[in-house]
Amino acid sequence: MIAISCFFSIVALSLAITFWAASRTKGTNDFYAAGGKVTSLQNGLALAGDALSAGAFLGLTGLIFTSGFDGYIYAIGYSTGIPVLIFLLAERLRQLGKFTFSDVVSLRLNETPMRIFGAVASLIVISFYLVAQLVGAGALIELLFGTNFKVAVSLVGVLMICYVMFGGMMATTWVQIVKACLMLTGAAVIAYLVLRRFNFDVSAILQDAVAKHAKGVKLLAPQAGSYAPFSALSLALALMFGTAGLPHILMRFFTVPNPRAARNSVVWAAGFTNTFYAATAVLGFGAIAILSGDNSAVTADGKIIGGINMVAIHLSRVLEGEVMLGLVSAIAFATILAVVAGLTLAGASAVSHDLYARVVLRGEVDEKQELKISRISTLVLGVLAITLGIAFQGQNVAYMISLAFAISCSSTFPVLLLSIYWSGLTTLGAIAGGSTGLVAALVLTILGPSMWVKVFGFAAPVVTLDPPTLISMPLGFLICWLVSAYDRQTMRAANVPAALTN
Amino acid sequence: MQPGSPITWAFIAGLSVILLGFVLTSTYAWIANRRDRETAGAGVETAIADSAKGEGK
Repeated sequence: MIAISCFFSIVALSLAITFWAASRTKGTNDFYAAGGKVTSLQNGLALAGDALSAGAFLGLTGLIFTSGFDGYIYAIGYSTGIPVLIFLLAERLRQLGKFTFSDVVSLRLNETPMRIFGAVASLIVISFYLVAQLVGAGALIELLFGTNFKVAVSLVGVLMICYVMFGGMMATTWVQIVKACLMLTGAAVIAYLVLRRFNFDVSAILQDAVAKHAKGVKLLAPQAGSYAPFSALSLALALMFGTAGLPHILMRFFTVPNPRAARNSVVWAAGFTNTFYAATAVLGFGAIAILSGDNSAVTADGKIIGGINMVAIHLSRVLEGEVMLGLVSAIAFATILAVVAGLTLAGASAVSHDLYARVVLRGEVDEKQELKISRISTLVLGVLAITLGIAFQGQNVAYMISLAFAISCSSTFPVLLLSIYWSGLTTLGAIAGGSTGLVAALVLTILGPSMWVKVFGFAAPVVTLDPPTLISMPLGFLICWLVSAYDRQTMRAANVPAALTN
Repeated sequence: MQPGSPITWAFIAGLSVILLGFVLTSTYAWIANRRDRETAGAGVETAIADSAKGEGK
């Protein structure tokens, strides 16, 4: 009952935000970039909200519960993603772009092919991320509230379409801010309750966890790196640079008034996210110490009831009963809603701004028409995501998130970085490098353990690297450089006869 | 870190990475904000000097 009340409160609050934001969304600048009026603290919270998806809240606690420090490595890796943004991209994006990252990559290069590439790469990354989030949302809501999976996915999808279609970036940002506040508070409360149970002695939590976990003392140090060092390095690259290529994260820098606000918002975001990632150790190891042997959370063979993503939910219930369970379930639901809304907005912008307004109509479009196309794109993208989400019911979709990260740091990130910092990059080089990175990430993930073995059921993977970033990301950069060098040489050779005849 | 303590070198290293990320981010922003203020201040001083020159004429 408490869980359902919290659930409806979240829905009502987010719809009220959408209604308020809709009255303030007049043109494309409001729709895509919240009028550029978001403050650095607000944008920092929204950025933190985008970075801390349900995968971070529910997934990381579950990973630490299962693998100990090997799971905590993911939290450490994710924490390096936000600082990369400030050093390499935040200010430059705000200085050079308007609504999407394609605005930046097409500034110095040939606009039409760069926008087509940017939009296609964005849509591929967003599709994998969005479908994975929707499938996760459906499974979670089905488990928490007993709702049918299809109804759950449709409900999340319809709400996501409403936020974006009517409230644009303003609604998406405020839903994200509310969610970030709820999530950070929720995590702080659970961490406090865990620490209080062990008299604020972290060593006692770890000792209890070691005593109760099958891995024993191996729980406290990395194990995966010793037998698969290349996969560990590849994962580190994906977590570190993947965030910097995700379209819905990059869009956040267009919502602030100036580069200084963009820079300061990353400081706020780093403060919030890194505190959260540090706290996941208390949540994860605390869960091992508290939930192990508890029949209401763990089965006789040591598996978590409802799957490993339910560790944080069980922990909150065991710590503080039904009230805490209701609150944490509502936070998980708000987290999913906010992230899928951000993804849908980024996808709709790629279609309406990059493809329709800039490529098809060559920029000769009035604001009302572009806004209409944005809303239609949101609707189409939303319906497509709901359909795919339902089609993927029961599938192992964890690879989709890793695929989104692998593609973003092998495709969009190299092109964006080189277009900002390397004047030698040519349009042909950018398209060739970005496309090679994209295809390499896609093919190598299909041949790797997370798809070849876990989805297709083969005995051994063709490529052992998981994720494939260690190959696909340098390959993307290399092809950008090689093709650009060749392209420049060809252009110089073509110009010589002309210069001689002149 | 005491011998036999459950807080291993891995935790110290991991938490240091998380903390370092925030420290580097904050330091970068602090330096860049200071540079911006100085540039803006120099701009104002130049404008005042220019207007003073204009009045002198």
